[in-house]
Amino acid sequence: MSSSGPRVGAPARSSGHVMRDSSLGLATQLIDALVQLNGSVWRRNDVRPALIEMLRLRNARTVNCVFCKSVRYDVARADGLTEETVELIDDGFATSTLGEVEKTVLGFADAYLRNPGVFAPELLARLRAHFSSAQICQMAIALATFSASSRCAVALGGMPEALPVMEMSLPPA
Amino acid sequence: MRYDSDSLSAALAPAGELARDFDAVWERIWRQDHVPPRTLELCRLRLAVLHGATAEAGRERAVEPDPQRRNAVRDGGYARDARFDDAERAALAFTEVYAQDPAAIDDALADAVKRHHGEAGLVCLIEALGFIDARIRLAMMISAMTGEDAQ
Repeated sequence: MSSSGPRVGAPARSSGHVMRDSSLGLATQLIDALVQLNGSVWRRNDVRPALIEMLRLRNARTVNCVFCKSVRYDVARADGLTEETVELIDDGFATSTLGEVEKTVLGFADAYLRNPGVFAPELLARLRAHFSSAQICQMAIALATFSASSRCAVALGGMPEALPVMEMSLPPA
Repeated sequence: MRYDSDSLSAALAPAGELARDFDAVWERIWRQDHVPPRTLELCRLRLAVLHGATAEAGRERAVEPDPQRRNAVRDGGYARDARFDDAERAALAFTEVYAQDPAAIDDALADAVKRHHGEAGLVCLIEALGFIDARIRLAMMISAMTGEDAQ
């Protein structure tokens, strides 16, 4: 890390909303749209929450956002995502005991995160076998939103070295 | 079809309401006044070049009407070009490091942006870079998925 502390403060007034009360709330002309989008990636999505959470965590580990890596959304756990499965979301996922659908989702994340200009035909075939066009677009938007958020958190500074795993509910819409 | 950060919206439309919410953030980024949209356009061009996204780098938005400035951003000559002011240079220097690794951003880079745009401006720039980067990546990926050379 290149900073010992956060590079910006937070809004003076507390609203009780985790995003609005963070540094993001300082950009007053963006925050409403950001809050809406961050809720929508979960609520306006036809893909199972456990799979969306796997996309989020693959991104978090690739970008190395300590905050993002520590969070587990309760909707994903309720959908069956266990810590044993989360442990497999590492660079060896392709040869792990994860199922075909989970490996396809993580391969999709890696295409976006590592080399978006190339998309393996075999991965595309698997993606289309398991997901509709709408679901593929929804996963793409979720991944892009998670990526923008985690890169933002890292760039704002003040990232701790480590945090314990903590369960979170979705913020209110 | 070869997509860019704007034409991407058509490709993502099957996502329905989620796509509309994603586009709403994009529209807000270009209409806010924490950081001048003209500065963000320079950052978009620089990120496109650093991604090797030629379709994106070739796209010209009316918010930056000067072709010489656009070319100076594309070829990296902006740092020594008198057509750019200190605020624009600070944003572009921040963008260069952001593109490589957000964790490599240091306090001096952030302070330079804050000097011109304040804390809200720094937050806005970082958010904008996140979504510019995201839309460039998505445009490249979806172009590749549809069989186009994304670069």
